[in-house]
Amino acid sequence: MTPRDTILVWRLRSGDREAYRDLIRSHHQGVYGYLRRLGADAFLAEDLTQETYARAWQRIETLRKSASLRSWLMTIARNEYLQSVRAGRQGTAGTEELPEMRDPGPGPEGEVVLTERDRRVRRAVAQLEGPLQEALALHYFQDLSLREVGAVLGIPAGTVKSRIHRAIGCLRKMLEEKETDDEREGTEKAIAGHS
Amino acid sequence: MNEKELKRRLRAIREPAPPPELRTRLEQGIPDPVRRPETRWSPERMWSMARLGGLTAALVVIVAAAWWLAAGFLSGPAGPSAAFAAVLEPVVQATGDTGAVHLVMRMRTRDGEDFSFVNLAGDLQNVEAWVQWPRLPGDPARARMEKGDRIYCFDGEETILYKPRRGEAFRRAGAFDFDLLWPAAWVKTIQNTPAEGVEVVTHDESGGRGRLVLHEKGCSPEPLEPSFLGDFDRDTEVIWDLATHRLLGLRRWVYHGGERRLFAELVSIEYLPEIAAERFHLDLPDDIRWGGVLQAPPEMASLGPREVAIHLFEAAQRGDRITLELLVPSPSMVSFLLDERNRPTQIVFIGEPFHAGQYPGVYVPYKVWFGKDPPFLKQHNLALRNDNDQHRWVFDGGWI
Repeated sequence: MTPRDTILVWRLRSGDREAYRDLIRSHHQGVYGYLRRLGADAFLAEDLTQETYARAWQRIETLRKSASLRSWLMTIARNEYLQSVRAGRQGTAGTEELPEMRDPGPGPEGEVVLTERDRRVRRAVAQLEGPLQEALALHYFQDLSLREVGAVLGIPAGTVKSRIHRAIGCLRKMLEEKETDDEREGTEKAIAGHS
Repeated sequence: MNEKELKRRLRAIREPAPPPELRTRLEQGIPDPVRRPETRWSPERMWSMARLGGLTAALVVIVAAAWWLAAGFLSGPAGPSAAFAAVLEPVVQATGDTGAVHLVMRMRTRDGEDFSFVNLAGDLQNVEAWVQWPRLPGDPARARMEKGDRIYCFDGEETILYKPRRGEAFRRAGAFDFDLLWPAAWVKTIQNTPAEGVEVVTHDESGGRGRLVLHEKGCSPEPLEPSFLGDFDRDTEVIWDLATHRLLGLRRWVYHGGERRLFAELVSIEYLPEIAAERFHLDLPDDIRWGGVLQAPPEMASLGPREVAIHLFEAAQRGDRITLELLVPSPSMVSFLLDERNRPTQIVFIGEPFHAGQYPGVYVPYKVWFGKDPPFLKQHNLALRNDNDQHRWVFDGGWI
């Protein structure tokens, strides 16, 4: 748990209303994005984000020392999503069509211009099989440590590491094949144009 | 694309953002009222707050001292069965039927702390107290307590906190809730605690003595380490004289790391008709430095606690004694803050003030780098209070 989280938990436990707002401000984008990554469409992700926080307010006392606030919220969000799937709720979608971030907020991420290569990476991530994609997304997109990812997914950190390793390997392979195809296509176009 | 570049691009990816109105809807879902467990009146919470405070007002020190006794020897959020409540009734009556008491105690507390902290890493410290109870309406109450590096003395009119090692003292007019220093009140509180969560481990009356041992569950502060009495699972032992029904002993243990550790012990208690007034008079050295809240420019009075916290850190950072003396009532603390080793080097974060427990001031969360050799990052809550004549927010604890 980060020092900031420690203070925030202390404030939450003391009933500091502003701390509840802080928990929303700090993490609601991550929760929503994770639910989208899991496969919820925009409407379901909104609903489940609200249900995640409602559950969090009820369970603030159950927060374990070893868990970070973010991974704790992600765990709740994941359970809410799985329950919604089991309950047959409408609104699940694939991750292939995930839009770009609409409001990246201040900071360097906001200034990133997506290049064609970035788009290829995103598309390749969306093609990964579910467990690999989820581990990768929690680690790289949600900035969770391997241990925290393990806590969310209910698996050892070592397993998370191997999943991410495999995911990186798959991505590299997919991207290399894509680049080879593009190069070949570009060469053929160039030859055709030249002739 | 090599692995390094791939990872860099992965780190730059952010998930889809929610619609802006989602945050508003989430904030509307915050339960109202937010549960406030720490605001209930309990010795544990009082002492958890008192840990950060307590460098200034003697009145509060005495109240804190009283709560220490309560925290040390009284039950927390638990409760007896009706059976042991009945057992304790004559003990309450007989223990209160005296004019004064002289107490010697041992507590696992810490130097510089106002008693609340369960210092499992340290030894038991001796604490001695004298309490004169008013026999008739209008009689003054008096109290004196000595512990480690400090003496608290209330002569019926004003309270003085004297710190011999620092050569400074604080004076404040006013009474205090001396009921909490009174052993009969401790037993009464045990008797009155709610029924849930207390297990009667032992009830034995033999050899001229009664003995009751109670077990209570702690309220875990996870993810924080347990620090204060209420955080721990604990046992309380009450011993009384079967002939007089007066309290003879109290002990408290806490459970931690699979061990049962003694936290507080009443070593001796004398029941006296009265205590000489001289006991409640302090002879202070001529060169004593009196601490207190100095007169300040009007604009200083209008500063809120967060602004005061910022001014305080910035003044310490630049070694500004004049500003520090206005914001810090303790002269020795001003010197401490001006020491190169204790000065902030970088202010990372100053949070919003919040109230907690029964502490009369507020806490301001901070995250600050201190010192240079080596530098260290400290995050804690600065304790500020404004219950002084000028109603200004001033430093009360929570530094390094």
